[in-house]
Amino acid sequence: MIWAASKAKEKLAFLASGLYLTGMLGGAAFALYPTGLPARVGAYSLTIRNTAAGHHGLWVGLVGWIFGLTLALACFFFIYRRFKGKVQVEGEGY
Amino acid sequence: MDSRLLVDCLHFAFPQLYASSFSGFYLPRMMVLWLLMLRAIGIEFRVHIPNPVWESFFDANLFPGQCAAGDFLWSCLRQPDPRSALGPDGYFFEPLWTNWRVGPNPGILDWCTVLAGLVALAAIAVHGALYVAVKTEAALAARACGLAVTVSPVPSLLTVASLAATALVRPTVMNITGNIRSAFSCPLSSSGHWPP
Repeated sequence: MIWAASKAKEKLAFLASGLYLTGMLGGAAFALYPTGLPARVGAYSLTIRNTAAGHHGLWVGLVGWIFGLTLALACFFFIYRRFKGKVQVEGEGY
Repeated sequence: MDSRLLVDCLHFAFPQLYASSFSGFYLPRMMVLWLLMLRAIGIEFRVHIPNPVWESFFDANLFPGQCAAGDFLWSCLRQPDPRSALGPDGYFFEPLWTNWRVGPNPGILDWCTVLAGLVALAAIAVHGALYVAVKTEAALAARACGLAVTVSPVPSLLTVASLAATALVRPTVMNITGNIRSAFSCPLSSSGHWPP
């Protein structure tokens, strides 16, 4: 990231920074897994197993999550495609 | 709406986790929302009142709102590292801070979570500067890129410090390789609650 930014390769540096943030969030999630909320007394910790809803609830959650993720990705691609390229500092503004 | 749907799906798939964590971290999460509102007010109103005094005022709203929201959000996410005071009923309450130490009487904010918040703040600041560099041209892009180069060592150093702090406070979370293996094998191997 530092190398790319110093060579004015902004897109590469931005991608590297995004990878770093993804790694940071993923690392935190996997470091805690399968615990969602650790307790000082280990038996009271909330994990993905002892807090999971019933079979039907998990199925509905999975289907809803896939639907929501598809919508989120579609929204993401639409917005960034609509506003792709460099912005003009002078001229039209919000 | 779509991202809200994603979060809601996780909430009703793991209802007790949602209920316990949201009630326990109610105040800091509300504070994140307040700070996000402050940021939005700074962005929204700045261009509507063409007056240097109000522009400075909304700039002043925007900057701390943005910084504190990022810092607080990550601190809240990172809070489970120093273990919470969860009881057998799945309920807990912790003050916003106590003595800033990780020990038997921790608050939501202590030196470890604040350090994690600073990591996030520095990383997001560099990411934002690089985004500005990607989206703009000429002098502004060069300034943003220069700022990113100058600030880049800060998140790196803070990440090392934060990892060392985590290893000191809660060494079990450093077994990340085993956790990744079990995380990916869980949906394949378990046949209990998970959809087959």
